[in-house]
Order: sequence, then C-alpha cells, then structure tokens
Amino acid sequence: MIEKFDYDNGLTLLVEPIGGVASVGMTLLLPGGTASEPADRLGAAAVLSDCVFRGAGELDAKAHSDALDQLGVKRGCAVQTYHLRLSATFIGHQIEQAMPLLTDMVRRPRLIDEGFEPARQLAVQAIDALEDEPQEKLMIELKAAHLPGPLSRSAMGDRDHLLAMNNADVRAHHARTFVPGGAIIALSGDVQPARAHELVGRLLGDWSGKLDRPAADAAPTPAYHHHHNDSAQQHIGIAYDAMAASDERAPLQHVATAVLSGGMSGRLFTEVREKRGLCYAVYAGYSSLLDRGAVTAYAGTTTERATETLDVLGKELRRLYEGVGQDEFERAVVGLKSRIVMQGESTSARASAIAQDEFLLGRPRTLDDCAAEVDAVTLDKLNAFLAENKPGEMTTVTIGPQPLIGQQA
Amino acid sequence: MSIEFKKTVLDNGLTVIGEVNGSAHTAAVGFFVNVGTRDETPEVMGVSHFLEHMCFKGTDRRSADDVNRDFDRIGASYNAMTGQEATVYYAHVLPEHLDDAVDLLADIMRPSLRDDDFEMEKNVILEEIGMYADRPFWVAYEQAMESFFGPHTLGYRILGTHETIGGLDADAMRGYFNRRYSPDNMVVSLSGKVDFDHTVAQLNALCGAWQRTGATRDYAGGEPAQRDETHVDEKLTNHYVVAISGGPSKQDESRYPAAVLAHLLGDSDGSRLYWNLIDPGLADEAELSHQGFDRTGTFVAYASCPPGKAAEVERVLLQTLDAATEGLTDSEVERARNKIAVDLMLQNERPSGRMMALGGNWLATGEYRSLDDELRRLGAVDAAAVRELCAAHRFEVRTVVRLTPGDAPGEAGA
Repeated sequence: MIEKFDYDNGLTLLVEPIGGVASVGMTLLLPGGTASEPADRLGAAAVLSDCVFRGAGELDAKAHSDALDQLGVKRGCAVQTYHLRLSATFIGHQIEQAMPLLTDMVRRPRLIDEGFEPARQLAVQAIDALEDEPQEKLMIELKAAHLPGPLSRSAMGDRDHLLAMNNADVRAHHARTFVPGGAIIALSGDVQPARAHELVGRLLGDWSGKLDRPAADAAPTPAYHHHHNDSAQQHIGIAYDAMAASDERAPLQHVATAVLSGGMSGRLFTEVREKRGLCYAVYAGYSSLLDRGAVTAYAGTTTERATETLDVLGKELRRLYEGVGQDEFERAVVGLKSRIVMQGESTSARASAIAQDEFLLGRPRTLDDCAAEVDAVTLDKLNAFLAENKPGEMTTVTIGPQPLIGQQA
Repeated sequence: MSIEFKKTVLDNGLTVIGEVNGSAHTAAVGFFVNVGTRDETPEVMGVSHFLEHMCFKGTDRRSADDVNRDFDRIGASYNAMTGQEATVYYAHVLPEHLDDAVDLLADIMRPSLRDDDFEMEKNVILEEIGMYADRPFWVAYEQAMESFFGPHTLGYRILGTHETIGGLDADAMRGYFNRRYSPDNMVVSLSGKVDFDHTVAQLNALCGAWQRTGATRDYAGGEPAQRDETHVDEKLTNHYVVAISGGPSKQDESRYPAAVLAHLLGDSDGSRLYWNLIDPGLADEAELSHQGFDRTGTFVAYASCPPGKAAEVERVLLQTLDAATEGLTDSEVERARNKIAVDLMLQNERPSGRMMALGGNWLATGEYRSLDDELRRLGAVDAAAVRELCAAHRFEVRTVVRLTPGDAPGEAGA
C-alpha cells in the first residue's frame, strides 16, 4: 500500500510502509537534471550534485557530514536526465533527526566559493578519468549518439563548459531547478504515512517554485561511431528505440528484453558467450525516459573476436522480433516476478522505484501492481507485439583499438 | 520477527548452517568452498576461478544449458564468485523454489569437467582477464598484492594470467577439484524462509555420498614485503596508487576495531581521506579498507588522481595513514561505528546478504554470530581499542605500487 500526498507547492510525497524492516529508504527527485542545464553550462548539475555535500544550513561541510554520520545516514546524489536524485537510507526511528539534515541540502546548501573550485576540479578530473574506463565511457557515448538533445547529455557535463563555469552558474542552477513544482519525494520502509506527511510538510511545505520540463529536439539518425582507445578489449554498444514506460505495451518490452538477457539462459548469454566463447560480459536492458524508451546492449571482447561479436549481437537483437518460444517466455516471466519480490527487500530500491514510477507513469506501483502487469503478458500477446514492433535502425558505438565497421569494405 | 540459528554436520563432514526467519519473503542458499588462489601452485594459477566457471558447464544429470535454464526456470538470482580463499556458489529464490535451488547447487558441486567445455570456457576466462586489464585500479591492486605477498599464494592473480590459463589442462583441474571440493572443506549457508530440517534431509540425500579428502590449507609462506614500485603505462590518463600493509586476520577479534579504523580513515564519505584528498579536489577517489584473510590480513589504501597531483596525493595519503591515532576521539570512532552498524542492519534485511555474511564468517571462524552479537562487539570499540590496533599493525610497514602514465610522479614524494 502506497500513500500519495500532494502539497500545494507542487511537491508530491509517496510513502510505502514495509513490515519487518528497521530502515527507511528515501529518494528525492529534483527537476535539475542534465536536460535542464543551460546549453552553455553543461556540467552545472554535476558540480551542484557535489556542492550539496559541502555544507548546508547552519552547518559547514564537516559539521554537516559528521551529523549525518552520527546517525549512520547513507547518502548519495546522482545526476540523471530530468533530475538530480538525492537518495538516503537511515534507521526509521531517526527520521526526525535525519530528514532536516537532508532537506537542508536541498533548500539551504551553502554553495560557497571555496567549495565550488574543488567540486569543479573533480568534475573535470572525472571526465579525464573516463579515458581509463572505456566501458563506462561507452555507455555515455552511446547515449550521446542515440538520443536527441538535450536528453543525450552526459551526466558528467562538458569539459570546456566546466572550465568556463563559476560558482554563480551553480547557484543559478540551484535556484532555478531545486523547486517543489515537479519534485517527488518517496519514503519506503519503517515509516508511518501520516507522520511522514506532517514532517515533510513542516520541512518543505513553505518551499516554492516550478520548472517546466525541457523539450526534446529531433532524434539523430542512427549510425556507427568509433572512438579510439588502446584498451585491451573492444567495447561494443548498440541502442535502438522502444516505447516509453507509460505506453501500455511497456510490460511486453520488459518480458521481451528478459528473454534476451534476463538470466544465464537468456539468448545473449547463450549465443554470444556460452556457444561461441566470444566474451565475458554481454547484456541488454530496456530503459525509459518520459516520451521514449530504448533497448541498449553491451559486449566487451578482444579485437580478434570483435567483428564476430558485433555480428552475433546485432543478429540476436533482431532475431528476438521473429518470435519467442514457450519455455524461454516462461523463464523470463518467472525471473521478472522473482526480482519484483526481491526488490521489496530493499527499502532504498523501493523508494527509488516508486519515485521513478510517479514521474514516468504519474502513479507509483505496488509490488502487486508490478506482478500483475507481468502476469497479464501472454506468449501470444508477446509474439504479436514483437511482430508489429521490429526495431528500426540501430545506433552502434565502439571504443577500442580499431573501428569494426567500414574496415572490411 | 524471530530468527533462529541452526547447525548440523553430515556424516561426511559437510556443515550446514542456517538463520531461519519465518516471516521472510525469500530464501537464500550458498555453498562456500574453502578454496581459492591461496591453495594454488604457480603452474595452475587461476584454476580455482576457472573451476568455478566449469561448475556451470554441466553434470551427470544436466548439460550446461540445463544448468542455466533450470536456475532461470525458478527465477533465481544466482551466481558464483572466487576470491583468494573462498569460492561461493549461491542462489536467492522465492521460498517455494528453495528445494530446486538446493538441488541445482548440490548438483553443480559435482561437475563433469568435460574437455570440450574446458577449451571453450578458456576463451571466456581470457576475455575476463582482458576486461579487468581495462580497469586500472584492479591492475594496480593485483600488482600491489603480488609485490606485498611476494611468492606467497595470497599474492596470486585470481583470474590467473594468459600464460597460466593458456597452459592449463583439464586433468590438472580435475585433480585440483578432487582434492579441494571435499564435503569437509565446505559449508552450506541458508537464510530466510527455510525449513531447516527438511533442507538438511535433502542435502543428505544429495551430498551424503560425497567422499571426504581431509583437504587442508598450507599456511607456510614468506613475510610480507616492503616495496616501492612504479609501473608506467603510457596509455593511462590518471595516476593510481595502492598501499598495502598488514592487518588483523578474519579470526582476530581486532577485526572490529579494524573495520572502524578503515571507516574513519577511508570511507567514501566523511572520512579523513575524504576530507584530506577528495574535499579539496586533489584525488578523484581515496579509500581504505580492511581485508581479513585466514590467519593474516591487510589494509589496502587506494587513490587515483591526475598525474600532476600525484606527488601531493601520495604524500597526503600516506601521512593520513601514518597519523591515524593523532587527534583520534571517541566521537570520531562512534560515527564510524554507527555507519558500520547501519550497513550490518541493512545487510540483515535481505536473506541474500545475511546468507553471505553467515557463510563467509563460518568458513573463516567456524563460529556463528547473530546480528545483535555483531553489533554488541562493534559497539564496544572505542578510541583506545583503535589505538591498540594501530600499535600492533603499523601502516608504515607497507608496499606502495603506483600505476602511472609516465614520469613517475611518486618520486617527488620520496
């Protein structure tokens, strides 16, 4: 059972009590993601996500951090496309002490000049360090190549923009995007809805502001892109369009992707790794933004086997749409339903999931709702869906010692 | 929520332990084999990990495809992992599928180890070696372990090398398997919604005929080394440094102060390394962890930064470790304890997390500790206990390994 409260200032609160646990997971989605950054200040969200940990309210950075540690609060701030996601996990009976420290990071971060400079340096260094992490860089490049602006932006920002940035830019991004209109807060675990409603109202009820969601440009034409890196492996990424999570066919896409990559008997693992020994890591996933979704696939392999790996991976992605068999369908469904129950054992995972649901679907789903959606998928419906929704052109990105396409011609 | 600990030993020496929680929604089971790189010889380095892969390649009752399909058919979250001292095979399932999960795991503990599967899987292992070669922290860490432990097997590479894996033959693996995968060298750990007596009866039927070999670990080995090494890799962008020093073993009660010390010096948030290196924007990452091993242990410090900041980062990193007891207060210790306590409580909320903790601890100590017991021992750690630990395990005695794009910036700090 999830209770939903709407405050007058536009903030939405979701509370999901879970029995038998002592912890509370919290997710706060603030509408200040990469898509809302000024076009010439890409990276403002990345720097802000660091600076919120550098002092808030009456407390400087050390005192604030010590106060959170004293309570054992685990916390993090992640930059997403539409949001800055502040997440925390703490012991339920400490909610009264923990929440003011967390909401101060949102409403009263100090954002002092002395904190800005190291935060900017770290943001630049993180971009530079990507050259040493080709697998991570690949996923950023794949997003950049496949999605339209501004949805395609990297969570890490743009190096040149970061070098030109100053603290006023970060303060401006905070003032413009840390607003309740479009913000969602979710609490799951050892928490009482009425008390949470009162507490959040006390902390965030007099907050004001609203941010309009940025519009997307036209999507780029899918193509092949290669980035040179003297890495040991060739890192291969493929992306193609799928429906948004809000589309009623989304559960079908979920089951289809699980057939491809749900477990070790999934098609990708079986065909690419088990039968051919082409790689160690291979997988695919389905993810969604508001108005569009995508299936992305990854494989990492040594150069000699890279062309064959790319070939088999691409063929398996397309072969999925020729239809699915009874046995693999059943395994996919059982796997998805099992993961749903297991998600219920993590208060942080539940808070994150219901906040995401509220944003993408306009309603949080209980575990039972999620299970019912999977149960409604039949093999006939799935195969009809696949036949009608064959993927179009795919975006392919590789990072490694040499390009894989265009060489043989 | 009532939790009950259960334990039994089958006639052939296979130990079964479980923390039964009737109100849990899932169940977790793991086979913990007391074997890892530590038990290898130089020619077969990497065989423990390769063997872990081969266990999924089929048995007398199942083909490799059957193994994967049967796990997926019950919606299991399952995998295996190999470390220096343990190889763990586990599954997390809905309670109604626990019998199937136990049947599968017990079955793959007696794999066929067929020649053609062995040759095919060798490619996958070589790809895994390639994947880790693209992770500089891992490269630096392995090199540091090798340099610190010298010829001792704790310094071996878990995945092996291109040479050892390329040269390995299936017979050598079979011999290794026959000696090490003995019922008296394993423990089965259960957690969550489990009918313990029922599962024990099932395990007896499945594993009761396995013959014990009396496998033991060879504890002989040289003294850890103090070295300072620079490895140049021109294609890197960042500078990576790993410093390893001695620490308490898995069995040592001072593992509790060791965990506290590692948190207060080197947690990713709010630790001294955080304030000295991350907060001022010097290092991208800077952490310290305690690694308990069987009758020995280490502290591993790690930092990465742009090459231009390397000298300063190394200086601050090592100074922070060496000055661990300076200004140490009970409130700083308390904060670290509180963070660890929350981690333990969160782990306890998931049967998969609890099963792992129980099995790992049992393999190391042959002892059960409830969450309350763990929290009580943790709660007893004060600043004096941390100082005592620092006196016994000095950070100054260490091996430092840096992996850098060039011009050995660490030399400026020497």
